[in-house]
Amino acid sequence: MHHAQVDQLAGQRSPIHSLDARTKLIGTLLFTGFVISAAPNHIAVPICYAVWPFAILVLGRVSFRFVFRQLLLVSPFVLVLAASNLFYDRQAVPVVFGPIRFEVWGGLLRGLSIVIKFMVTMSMLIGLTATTRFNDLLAGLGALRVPRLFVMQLGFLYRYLFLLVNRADHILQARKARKLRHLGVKKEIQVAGNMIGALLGSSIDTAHQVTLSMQARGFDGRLHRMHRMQFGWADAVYSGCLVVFLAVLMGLQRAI
Amino acid sequence: MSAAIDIKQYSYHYANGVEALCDIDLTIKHGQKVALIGPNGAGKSTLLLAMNMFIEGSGQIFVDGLELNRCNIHSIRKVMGFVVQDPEEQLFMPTVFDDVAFGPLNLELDQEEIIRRVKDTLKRVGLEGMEDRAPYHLSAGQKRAAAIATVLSMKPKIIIMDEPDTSLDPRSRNRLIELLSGLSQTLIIATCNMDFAARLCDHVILVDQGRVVVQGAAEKILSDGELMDKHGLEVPFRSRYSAGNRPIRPSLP
Repeated sequence: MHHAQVDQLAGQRSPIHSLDARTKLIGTLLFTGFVISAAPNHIAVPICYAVWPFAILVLGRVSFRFVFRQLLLVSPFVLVLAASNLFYDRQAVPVVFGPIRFEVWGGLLRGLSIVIKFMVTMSMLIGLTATTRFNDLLAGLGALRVPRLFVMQLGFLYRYLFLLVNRADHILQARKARKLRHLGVKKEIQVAGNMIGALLGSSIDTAHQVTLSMQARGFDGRLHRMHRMQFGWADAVYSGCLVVFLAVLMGLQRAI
Repeated sequence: MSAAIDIKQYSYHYANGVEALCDIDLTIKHGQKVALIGPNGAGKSTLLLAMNMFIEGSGQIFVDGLELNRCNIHSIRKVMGFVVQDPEEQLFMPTVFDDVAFGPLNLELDQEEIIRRVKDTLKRVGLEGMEDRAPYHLSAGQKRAAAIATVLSMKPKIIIMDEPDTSLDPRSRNRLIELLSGLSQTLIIATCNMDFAARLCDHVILVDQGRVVVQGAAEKILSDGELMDKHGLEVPFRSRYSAGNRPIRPSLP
């Protein structure tokens, strides 16, 4: 994800933004667990789950174009995984849409289910990161007793990532400026390897410098926030709605 | 009254055995604006790192009367701010506000005080109204000002800066000089830019090959053409002008 855009979205004001980070974190985890545990050959139920992230994105004023772009970026792996189902499960499974009844391969249903579950859970995750400032997320994780070392590593990873992306951009520009002809696949791979090596080397230096500047400003490993985290009425309403929504869909799944 | 910085017989070797700093002895008084000058690789940045205990060598360093060691490091970092060479590495938070508030938050000040400090500091460095901007969207001059603000908001007694004039155009450099000249804190600035040093600092420490060659009044040291030339430096442009009322152009080989 593009840091600048995510930070910009997370810095907006909306009912979803004003929720406590812990409420959103626990809600996302719970929601993801329910979606993943839906029966693998069901499609209708995972589609119904999409209502929740849709509501979050609308209320949180996150553009669907942005969400779609992020989904596309991370989808290739899942698409390959979903497609592979077609090769090992070719058993005919009946599909019923009201009066319409037909048969498809079981692998196709499983593949579709994987893609839908992926899109629904990813949208929820994007909704979480686009409506919560990263520092608040880290503080939320800390308050939920996630090990401090993990929270710190996550924080550093996020901070260094945008520096790394910038550096990679500069290296690519320098490469383009000197690339006058195609060098052949073997040579191109070698050059790409060298560029990645240079990038890693310089990113370690940068990480070191960032750490120095953090320590020089009194950073001792603890993340401090400006505002104290506090559960409010909005958190209670959000949690209540989510629980009811999940219970209804669970009931629906059992009925099917 | 104790000195701002007092270094006694300080030496440091890199892991490969190369001597980076050798028998450094120097004293910097409170309120002085000191330029740490020297050619590339002279040890200026290493000396700044040593003053902040980012490297540990032999000898003693006292900051505001406190000996630099692991027990005192947090107290010392409260009185001494460090601005690294590249502002991109100083600015790592999502917004300018968050970056300037990072230090005061670590000082565990109350919320109102933090907000007040951030606003005052941003006004002081000319970034008023840019609180919500992402630091990586600022111009080079603004980034530099924001990097200085991140340290000023902690209200340190001493500020050390590594090559703060790098990649600034003349207008941004003039603004920076104006800003730094107006600070009451002790300033220690490592630089290769003799004009910058001459315009800002009243005291100069010349470092070469890890040793302090000479220290004293900026005017005297910076106008010594022979000394500057010997250490790969140059007399500031303004001094060259005032010497003969015309610029000296280096002759091409």
